[in-house]
Amino acid sequence: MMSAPATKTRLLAGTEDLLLGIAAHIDRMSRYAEVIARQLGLDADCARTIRGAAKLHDFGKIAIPQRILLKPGPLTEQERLVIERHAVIGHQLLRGSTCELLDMAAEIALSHHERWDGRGYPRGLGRTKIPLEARIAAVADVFDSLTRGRSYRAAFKLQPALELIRAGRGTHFDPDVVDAFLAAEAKILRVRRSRRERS
Amino acid sequence: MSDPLEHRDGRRAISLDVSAWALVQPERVFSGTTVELGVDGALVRLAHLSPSAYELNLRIDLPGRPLHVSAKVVERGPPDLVVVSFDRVDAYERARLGEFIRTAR
Repeated sequence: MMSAPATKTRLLAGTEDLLLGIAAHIDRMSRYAEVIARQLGLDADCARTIRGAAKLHDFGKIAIPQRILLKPGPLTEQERLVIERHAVIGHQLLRGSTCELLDMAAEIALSHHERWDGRGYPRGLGRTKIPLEARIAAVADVFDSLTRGRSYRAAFKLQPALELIRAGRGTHFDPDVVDAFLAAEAKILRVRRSRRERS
Repeated sequence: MSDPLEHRDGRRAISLDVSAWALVQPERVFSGTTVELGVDGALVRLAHLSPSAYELNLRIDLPGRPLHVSAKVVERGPPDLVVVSFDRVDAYERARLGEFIRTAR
Protein backbone atom coordinates (compact mmCIF):
# COMPACT_ATOMS: atom_id res chain seq x y z
CA MET A 1 0.00 0.00 0.00
CA MET A 2 1.25 3.50 -0.80
CA SER A 3 2.06 5.86 2.06
CA ALA A 4 -0.05 9.00 2.48
CA PRO A 5 2.71 11.32 1.19
CA ALA A 6 3.26 9.06 -1.84
CA THR A 7 -0.48 9.03 -2.57
CA LYS A 8 -0.58 12.80 -2.25
CA THR A 9 2.39 13.19 -4.56
CA ARG A 10 0.80 10.94 -7.13
CA LEU A 11 -2.53 12.79 -6.91
CA LEU A 12 -0.80 16.14 -7.32
CA ALA A 13 1.19 14.83 -10.27
CA GLY A 14 -2.00 13.49 -11.81
CA THR A 15 -3.78 16.81 -11.35
CA GLU A 16 -0.83 18.69 -12.81
CA ASP A 17 -0.75 16.35 -15.82
CA LEU A 18 -4.47 16.87 -16.29
CA LEU A 19 -4.27 20.66 -16.10
CA LEU A 20 -1.23 20.78 -18.36
CA GLY A 21 -3.00 18.51 -20.81
CA ILE A 22 -6.04 20.78 -20.91
CA ALA A 23 -3.85 23.89 -21.22
CA ALA A 24 -1.92 22.32 -24.11
CA HIS A 25 -5.18 21.34 -25.85
CA ILE A 26 -6.52 24.89 -25.51
CA ASP A 27 -3.25 26.33 -26.81
CA ARG A 28 -3.09 24.03 -29.85
CA MET A 29 -6.75 24.14 -30.87
CA SER A 30 -6.85 27.94 -30.65
CA ARG A 31 -3.75 28.18 -32.86
CA TYR A 32 -5.32 25.76 -35.34
CA ALA A 33 -8.40 27.99 -35.35
CA GLU A 34 -6.27 31.02 -36.17
CA VAL A 35 -4.56 29.18 -39.05
CA ILE A 36 -7.92 28.06 -40.47
CA ALA A 37 -9.35 31.57 -40.17
CA ARG A 38 -6.41 33.03 -42.08
CA GLN A 39 -6.72 30.32 -44.74
CA LEU A 40 -10.39 31.26 -45.13
CA GLY A 41 -9.27 34.80 -45.94
CA LEU A 42 -10.10 36.51 -42.65
CA ASP A 43 -7.74 39.33 -41.75
CA ALA A 44 -5.01 38.93 -39.16
CA ASP A 45 -6.83 40.88 -36.43
CA CYS A 46 -9.98 38.85 -36.84
CA ALA A 47 -8.04 35.58 -36.86
CA ARG A 48 -6.23 36.63 -33.67
CA THR A 49 -9.56 37.42 -32.02
CA ILE A 50 -10.86 33.99 -33.03
CA ARG A 51 -7.75 32.43 -31.52
CA GLY A 52 -8.30 34.27 -28.24
CA ALA A 53 -12.00 33.52 -28.17
CA ALA A 54 -11.52 29.85 -29.06
CA LYS A 55 -9.46 29.38 -25.92
CA LEU A 56 -12.67 29.71 -23.93
CA HIS A 57 -14.67 27.19 -25.96
CA ASP A 58 -15.07 24.79 -23.03
CA PHE A 59 -15.38 27.45 -20.33
CA GLY A 60 -18.75 26.04 -19.24
CA LYS A 61 -17.06 22.84 -18.10
CA ILE A 62 -16.05 24.61 -14.89
CA ALA A 63 -19.60 23.89 -13.71
CA ILE A 64 -19.58 20.20 -14.65
CA PRO A 65 -18.50 17.74 -11.95
CA GLN A 66 -15.00 16.34 -12.46
CA ARG A 67 -16.35 12.87 -11.75
CA ILE A 68 -18.29 13.06 -15.00
CA LEU A 69 -15.78 15.05 -17.06
CA LEU A 70 -12.93 12.71 -16.24
CA LYS A 71 -14.87 9.44 -16.20
CA PRO A 72 -12.60 6.88 -17.81
CA GLY A 73 -15.39 4.80 -19.36
CA PRO A 74 -18.53 5.27 -21.41
CA LEU A 75 -20.98 7.89 -20.17
CA THR A 76 -24.53 7.12 -19.12
CA GLU A 77 -27.31 8.98 -20.91
CA GLN A 78 -27.76 11.18 -17.82
CA GLU A 79 -24.03 12.00 -17.72
CA ARG A 80 -24.05 12.83 -21.42
CA LEU A 81 -26.93 15.26 -20.88
CA VAL A 82 -25.03 16.91 -18.04
CA ILE A 83 -21.84 17.30 -20.10
CA GLU A 84 -23.77 18.71 -23.05
CA ARG A 85 -24.98 21.47 -20.75
CA HIS A 86 -21.46 22.99 -20.74
CA ALA A 87 -22.13 24.76 -24.04
CA VAL A 88 -25.07 26.75 -22.70
CA ILE A 89 -23.41 27.36 -19.33
CA GLY A 90 -20.30 28.72 -21.02
CA HIS A 91 -22.41 31.04 -23.13
CA GLN A 92 -24.34 32.29 -20.14
CA LEU A 93 -21.13 32.98 -18.23
CA LEU A 94 -19.38 34.76 -21.09
CA ARG A 95 -22.11 36.74 -22.82
CA GLY A 96 -23.19 40.30 -22.24
CA SER A 97 -19.83 42.01 -22.00
CA THR A 98 -18.78 44.94 -24.13
CA CYS A 99 -15.62 43.10 -25.11
CA GLU A 100 -15.52 41.79 -28.69
CA LEU A 101 -13.35 38.84 -27.75
CA LEU A 102 -15.67 37.72 -24.93
CA ASP A 103 -18.75 38.16 -27.12
CA MET A 104 -17.15 35.93 -29.72
CA ALA A 105 -16.06 33.50 -27.01
CA ALA A 106 -19.68 33.28 -25.83
CA GLU A 107 -20.81 32.38 -29.35
CA ILE A 108 -18.07 29.78 -29.74
CA ALA A 109 -18.85 28.29 -26.33
CA LEU A 110 -22.50 27.98 -27.29
CA SER A 111 -22.09 26.65 -30.82
CA HIS A 112 -18.87 24.64 -31.12
CA HIS A 113 -20.78 21.35 -30.82
CA GLU A 114 -23.32 22.23 -33.49
CA ARG A 115 -22.99 20.26 -36.70
CA TRP A 116 -23.27 21.36 -40.32
CA ASP A 117 -26.10 18.83 -40.83
CA GLY A 118 -28.08 20.21 -37.89
CA ARG A 119 -27.59 17.16 -35.67
CA GLY A 120 -25.40 18.83 -33.08
CA TYR A 121 -26.24 20.48 -29.77
CA PRO A 122 -27.45 22.52 -27.94
CA ARG A 123 -29.71 24.17 -30.51
CA GLY A 124 -29.50 21.86 -33.50
CA LEU A 125 -28.51 24.74 -35.77
CA GLY A 126 -27.31 23.84 -39.23
CA ARG A 127 -25.12 25.23 -41.96
CA THR A 128 -24.53 28.99 -41.89
CA LYS A 129 -26.89 29.51 -38.96
CA ILE A 130 -23.90 28.35 -36.92
CA PRO A 131 -21.55 31.32 -36.44
CA LEU A 132 -18.43 31.00 -38.63
CA GLU A 133 -16.07 31.26 -35.66
CA ALA A 134 -17.82 28.27 -34.05
CA ARG A 135 -17.59 26.26 -37.29
CA ILE A 136 -13.86 26.97 -37.31
CA ALA A 137 -13.46 26.10 -33.63
CA ALA A 138 -15.33 22.82 -34.17
CA VAL A 139 -12.79 21.54 -36.68
CA ALA A 140 -9.84 22.74 -34.61
CA ASP A 141 -11.26 21.22 -31.42
CA VAL A 142 -12.10 17.84 -32.92
CA PHE A 143 -8.75 17.53 -34.70
CA ASP A 144 -6.83 18.23 -31.52
CA SER A 145 -9.11 16.00 -29.45
CA LEU A 146 -8.51 13.12 -31.86
CA THR A 147 -4.75 13.51 -31.87
CA ARG A 148 -4.28 13.75 -28.12
CA GLY A 149 -4.44 10.72 -25.87
CA ARG A 150 -7.26 10.57 -23.34
CA SER A 151 -7.68 8.55 -20.19
CA TYR A 152 -10.19 6.31 -22.00
CA ARG A 153 -8.50 5.97 -25.40
CA ALA A 154 -5.20 6.26 -27.18
CA ALA A 155 -4.51 9.18 -29.49
CA PHE A 156 -5.34 8.74 -33.17
CA LYS A 157 -2.37 8.76 -35.46
CA LEU A 158 -2.15 11.76 -37.74
CA GLN A 159 -3.43 10.29 -41.01
CA PRO A 160 -6.54 8.61 -39.49
CA ALA A 161 -7.33 11.87 -37.69
CA LEU A 162 -7.06 13.84 -40.93
CA GLU A 163 -9.24 11.25 -42.64
CA LEU A 164 -11.91 11.63 -39.95
CA ILE A 165 -11.94 15.40 -40.45
CA ARG A 166 -12.19 14.87 -44.22
CA ALA A 167 -14.99 12.35 -43.71
CA GLY A 168 -16.93 14.91 -41.68
CA ARG A 169 -16.94 17.42 -44.55
CA GLY A 170 -20.53 18.49 -45.21
CA THR A 171 -22.00 16.40 -42.38
CA HIS A 172 -20.27 17.25 -39.13
CA PHE A 173 -18.27 20.19 -40.46
CA ASP A 174 -18.65 23.15 -42.78
CA PRO A 175 -17.13 21.99 -46.10
CA ASP A 176 -15.35 25.32 -46.63
CA VAL A 177 -13.76 25.13 -43.19
CA VAL A 178 -12.58 21.56 -43.81
CA ASP A 179 -11.15 22.62 -47.17
CA ALA A 180 -9.31 25.47 -45.48
CA PHE A 181 -8.05 23.15 -42.76
CA LEU A 182 -6.74 20.64 -45.31
CA ALA A 183 -5.24 23.37 -47.50
CA ALA A 184 -3.38 24.67 -44.45
CA GLU A 185 -2.32 21.18 -43.34
CA ALA A 186 1.40 22.00 -43.45
CA LYS A 187 0.89 25.02 -41.16
CA ILE A 188 -1.38 23.03 -38.85
CA LEU A 189 1.26 20.31 -38.54
CA ARG A 190 3.94 22.92 -37.89
CA VAL A 191 1.86 24.29 -35.01
CA ARG A 192 1.30 20.77 -33.72
CA ARG A 193 5.01 19.94 -33.82
CA SER A 194 6.09 23.18 -32.19
CA ARG A 195 3.55 22.93 -29.37
CA ARG A 196 4.41 19.29 -28.70
CA GLU A 197 8.08 20.20 -28.42
CA ARG A 198 7.23 22.91 -25.89
CA SER A 199 4.96 20.75 -23.75
CA MET B 1 -60.41 25.08 -7.01
CA SER B 2 -57.59 26.11 -9.30
CA ASP B 3 -54.02 26.02 -8.20
CA PRO B 4 -53.03 29.44 -6.81
CA LEU B 5 -49.78 29.28 -8.78
CA GLU B 6 -51.53 29.07 -12.10
CA HIS B 7 -52.50 31.76 -14.60
CA ARG B 8 -50.37 34.62 -13.51
CA ASP B 9 -48.18 37.11 -15.28
CA GLY B 10 -49.67 36.57 -18.71
CA ARG B 11 -48.73 32.93 -18.91
CA ARG B 12 -50.79 30.54 -21.01
CA ALA B 13 -51.53 26.89 -20.32
CA ILE B 14 -49.02 25.17 -22.62
CA SER B 15 -47.43 21.79 -22.05
CA LEU B 16 -43.93 21.33 -23.46
CA ASP B 17 -41.08 19.07 -22.46
CA VAL B 18 -38.51 20.86 -20.36
CA SER B 19 -35.23 19.85 -18.79
CA ALA B 20 -33.37 21.65 -16.03
CA TRP B 21 -29.87 21.69 -14.63
CA ALA B 22 -28.95 23.36 -11.36
CA LEU B 23 -25.53 24.18 -9.98
CA VAL B 24 -26.51 22.73 -6.60
CA GLN B 25 -27.29 19.37 -8.24
CA PRO B 26 -24.72 19.37 -11.04
CA GLU B 27 -24.72 15.62 -11.67
CA ARG B 28 -28.30 15.46 -12.92
CA VAL B 29 -30.51 16.89 -15.60
CA PHE B 30 -34.16 16.95 -14.50
CA SER B 31 -36.98 16.27 -16.92
CA GLY B 32 -40.42 17.78 -16.65
CA THR B 33 -43.09 19.74 -18.47
CA THR B 34 -44.29 23.29 -18.58
CA VAL B 35 -47.75 23.81 -17.14
CA GLU B 36 -47.89 27.42 -18.21
CA LEU B 37 -45.57 29.41 -20.38
CA GLY B 38 -45.00 33.13 -20.78
CA VAL B 39 -42.31 35.31 -22.32
CA ASP B 40 -40.95 36.24 -18.89
CA GLY B 41 -41.30 32.94 -17.09
CA ALA B 42 -43.12 29.67 -16.68
CA LEU B 43 -44.88 27.36 -14.29
CA VAL B 44 -43.04 24.08 -14.55
CA ARG B 45 -43.54 20.60 -13.13
CA LEU B 46 -40.08 19.28 -12.17
CA ALA B 47 -39.72 16.30 -9.88
CA HIS B 48 -36.80 15.79 -7.49
CA LEU B 49 -35.49 19.33 -7.74
CA SER B 50 -33.64 20.26 -4.56
CA PRO B 51 -35.35 22.85 -2.34
CA SER B 52 -32.09 24.79 -2.50
CA ALA B 53 -32.08 24.88 -6.29
CA TYR B 54 -32.58 28.54 -7.10
CA GLU B 55 -30.77 29.26 -10.34
CA LEU B 56 -31.70 26.92 -13.16
CA ASN B 57 -30.49 26.32 -16.64
CA LEU B 58 -33.60 25.40 -18.63
CA ARG B 59 -34.13 23.83 -22.00
CA ILE B 60 -37.70 24.24 -23.22
CA ASP B 61 -38.52 22.16 -26.27
CA LEU B 62 -40.26 24.70 -28.46
CA PRO B 63 -41.28 23.29 -31.84
CA GLY B 64 -38.42 23.42 -34.34
CA ARG B 65 -35.65 24.34 -31.96
CA PRO B 66 -35.25 24.27 -28.20
CA LEU B 67 -35.04 27.44 -26.17
CA HIS B 68 -32.19 27.57 -23.66
CA VAL B 69 -32.60 30.09 -20.91
CA SER B 70 -31.30 30.72 -17.43
CA ALA B 71 -34.02 31.22 -14.86
CA LYS B 72 -34.61 31.78 -11.16
CA VAL B 73 -37.09 29.93 -8.99
CA VAL B 74 -39.48 32.51 -7.58
CA GLU B 75 -42.18 30.29 -6.10
CA ARG B 76 -42.79 26.66 -5.29
CA GLY B 77 -45.90 24.60 -4.79
CA PRO B 78 -46.84 20.97 -4.43
CA PRO B 79 -46.59 18.66 -6.21
CA ASP B 80 -43.26 19.44 -7.87
CA LEU B 81 -44.44 22.79 -9.22
CA VAL B 82 -42.03 25.68 -9.55
CA VAL B 83 -42.56 29.13 -10.94
CA VAL B 84 -39.49 30.39 -12.72
CA SER B 85 -38.59 33.83 -13.94
CA PHE B 86 -36.41 33.93 -17.05
CA ASP B 87 -33.21 35.92 -16.55
CA ARG B 88 -32.67 37.21 -20.01
CA VAL B 89 -33.91 36.07 -23.38
CA ASP B 90 -32.37 37.81 -26.37
CA ALA B 91 -34.71 39.76 -28.62
CA TYR B 92 -34.87 37.15 -31.38
CA GLU B 93 -35.61 34.26 -29.05
CA ARG B 94 -38.10 36.34 -27.09
CA ALA B 95 -39.96 37.14 -30.31
CA ARG B 96 -39.94 33.45 -31.28
CA LEU B 97 -41.26 32.47 -27.84
CA GLY B 98 -43.91 35.20 -27.92
CA GLU B 99 -45.10 34.15 -31.35
CA PHE B 100 -45.33 30.52 -30.27
CA ILE B 101 -47.31 31.42 -27.15
CA ARG B 102 -49.62 33.71 -29.10
CA THR B 103 -50.47 31.07 -31.71
CA ALA B 104 -50.44 27.97 -29.50
CA ARG B 105 -53.75 26.14 -29.30
